[in-house]
Amino acid sequence: MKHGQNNFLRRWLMLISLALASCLPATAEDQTVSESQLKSAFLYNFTKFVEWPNAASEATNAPFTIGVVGDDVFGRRLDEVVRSETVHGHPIVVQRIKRGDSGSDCQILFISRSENGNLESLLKSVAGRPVLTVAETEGSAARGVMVNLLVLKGSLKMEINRAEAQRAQLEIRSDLLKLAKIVTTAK
Amino acid sequence: MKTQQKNAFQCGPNRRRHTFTLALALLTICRLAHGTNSTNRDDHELLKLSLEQLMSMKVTSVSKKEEKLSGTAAAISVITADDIQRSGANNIPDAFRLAPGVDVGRVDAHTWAVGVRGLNDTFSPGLLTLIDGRSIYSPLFSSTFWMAQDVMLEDLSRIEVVRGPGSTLWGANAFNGVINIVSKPADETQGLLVNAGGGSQPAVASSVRWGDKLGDNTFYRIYGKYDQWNDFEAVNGGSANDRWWKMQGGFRLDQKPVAGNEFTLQGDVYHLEANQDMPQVSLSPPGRQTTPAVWSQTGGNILGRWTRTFSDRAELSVQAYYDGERFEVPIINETRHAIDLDIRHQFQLGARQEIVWGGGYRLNMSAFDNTEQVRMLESSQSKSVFNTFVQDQINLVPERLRLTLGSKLEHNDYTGFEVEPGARLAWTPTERQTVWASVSRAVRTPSQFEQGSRMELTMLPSSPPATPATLLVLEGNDRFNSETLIAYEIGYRVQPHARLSLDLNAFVNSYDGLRSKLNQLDPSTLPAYLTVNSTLVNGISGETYGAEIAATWQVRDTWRLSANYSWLEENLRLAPEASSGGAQTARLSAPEQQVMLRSSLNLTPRVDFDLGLRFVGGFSGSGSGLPDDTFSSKVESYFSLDARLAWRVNPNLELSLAGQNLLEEAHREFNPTFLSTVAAQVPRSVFGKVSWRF
Repeated sequence: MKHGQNNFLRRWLMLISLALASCLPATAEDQTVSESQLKSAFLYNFTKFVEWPNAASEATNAPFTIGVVGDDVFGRRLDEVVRSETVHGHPIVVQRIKRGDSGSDCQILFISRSENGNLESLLKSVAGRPVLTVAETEGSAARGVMVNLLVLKGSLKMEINRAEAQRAQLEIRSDLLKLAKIVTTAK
Repeated sequence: MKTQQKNAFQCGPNRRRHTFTLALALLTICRLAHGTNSTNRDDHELLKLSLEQLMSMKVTSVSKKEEKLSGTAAAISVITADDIQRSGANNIPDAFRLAPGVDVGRVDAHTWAVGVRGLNDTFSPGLLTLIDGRSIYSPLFSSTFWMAQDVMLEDLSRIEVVRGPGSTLWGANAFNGVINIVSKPADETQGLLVNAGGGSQPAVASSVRWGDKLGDNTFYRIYGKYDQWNDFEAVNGGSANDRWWKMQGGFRLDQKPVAGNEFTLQGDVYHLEANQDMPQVSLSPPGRQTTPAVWSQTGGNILGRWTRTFSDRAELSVQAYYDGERFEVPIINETRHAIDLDIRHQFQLGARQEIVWGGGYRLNMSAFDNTEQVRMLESSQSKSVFNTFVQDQINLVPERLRLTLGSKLEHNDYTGFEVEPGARLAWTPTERQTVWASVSRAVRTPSQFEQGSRMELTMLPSSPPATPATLLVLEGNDRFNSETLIAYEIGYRVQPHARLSLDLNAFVNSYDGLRSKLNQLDPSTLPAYLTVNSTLVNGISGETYGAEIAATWQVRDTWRLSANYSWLEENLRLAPEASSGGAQTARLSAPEQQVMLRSSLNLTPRVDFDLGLRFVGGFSGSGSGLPDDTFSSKVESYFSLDARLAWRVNPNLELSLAGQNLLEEAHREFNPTFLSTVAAQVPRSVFGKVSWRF
């Protein structure tokens, strides 16, 4: 308890000194984007760097669906990003998936942070289907998610579970693989 | 309290079209404030980047929308849905406590006094509050009946608190501040949600919501809720006899029939019954007693809004609503209907200017049942308000220096034309900091009560032989004019680090013609009793000044600390002619100092633990000011500690336990004003809740 209080005080002292430091003009002019913006851009890029089975042969009026399950972190952003974009001629649509509904008709399934506790059953519901599963919580690639987008210290880290993708007949191109940490499912 | 991480997820720029509200205007300031950044273009530029380039991007913890807020030349705080849930607040006014510069005093179980930058009162004059673009300001007493205003808190997107006048865009009565309560669009509240809770306060809080889609472009939700509160404790001991219950239901439907068009239809109905001991004055024999009574209120509203987006910078919106209520108290019965129409158009003029302009019409119809004790001169009336406004944002130096000029011109049936101009200048030297300054003029227009009414306040018993029994009467006055304010504000907002944001604001508010009372003796009722008429006049002028500092620090991804400090001084004077009859001193009051500290910690991904500590300084001046009111004295300063523990057992089930005012048995926050009801204390309370969704 005592220790906790000291810690608390120390944090506050740090805050005050940071506040004082902030009176100096900030110099760093980083190229910054919001997390949802960046993740939207990645989801779009996955459509180009992942090969779905039979993608080219299906009728072009069938949509290419990105499903979002759980608390929607994107708002309208994702819809705006993919609007009027296509994958092999298929228009990309974004679908919000209700809890309990299956995402097995999607080509990409984004599993929001809020569904972390529900991950296994979600993965089970799409098992064997050519669905690229994407999550955003630590350790989820090792739990069987194919792509994990993590924000650590202000930058994005990608983990790919290649074996899971192959099992679903998805081929992830090397351009994407080389940027990611390759992870296997923990037994 | 500006939270970062959560907002980044909840306030994407394109949500603008969804969350629309009259705060389109606010958004206008926001989006214009950020110069030439076009969100769509940014997104599409991102798509052209290589994977390597994307990987090297820095992620901000604030969204574009929030960056825009951070560039706004106004003192704005955003309370997110997450903040509200985690604070354990069970009603709207308690959620306002999270923002700096706002003082919330709970008078009793069902009455709140909410003030922004001072001048607080039970009836919250000078504060305009909107729920999804619908004004909840009652023109009867220049007030908001907070107990009648509710939303399903889980379906709330955020609360935007603007300190300082918002009159250029929102018009009269956006005097000391504006609060926008914004609910989520229907597509974000899909599925079934059941909440059941109980505790010492509120005794019962339960709600059900169902959201679904009707085709590809149409989403809806319906909800119902029931809340019940226990009696507070009277300051004198015993029960304050102020328990109450409320039930409410409503819906929202959002449709996007074709690209660029959005249509929203929403509505609510409610009924509440609140126990309240009402003062009753009897002339023979002279005296005053308090009688237990029930305040019963029923109301409903329906609102439709159509938004047409022409381009990233051009938008037209048309909104219309009906709002009605009926309330019955032994001494006050009123039926009120309001119809409101609002049109706004925003477009770009040349390379550097963005214009938003529009107009509106409001019709207030009311029927007041006069009683012996309270009478309106015009018991049945119909009043119109017309307004038009224009605002021009000039990007003097693109993305760096912006000047916003605008004014509202309004006509009301009491005081005629009112002009509310404002000028705001914002300098954004780097993307992470903004310095701004503004000058604006605002008015608070007279209420129906202030313009013509008579209310018997109390009968003071005789003290023989010298003093006869005395009847105190409060009278409105058709010469009562608008209160005016010229506000000078400055602010500095900075994000020195990706995880830390700071917001500093200072202001001087210069008032003229604030409400006071002029006392006159009327001996015509002697020998039975003497009458003292207190007439409402514009007798107070002077300044208030103060500052607010707010900081948010995302210590880790799982731990956020926020703190704010508000300081306020009042220097208000009675005009010499107004004090000739021995009138009252400054009518309104608020604490000089308030401090809030909050810690939001995710103990595990499934367990949240929140602590909130508040200090509210003591102040004097609240209370009815009547000679027989023993509670007009000082409200003592207090500390209050709130805590909440929530456990998400699985994705469908959340259990939470919240405690409020844990440091003491009970404390007084605000004295009843105007209607001198029982002075009550806010008790320590514990509340448990089960939320089930699927």
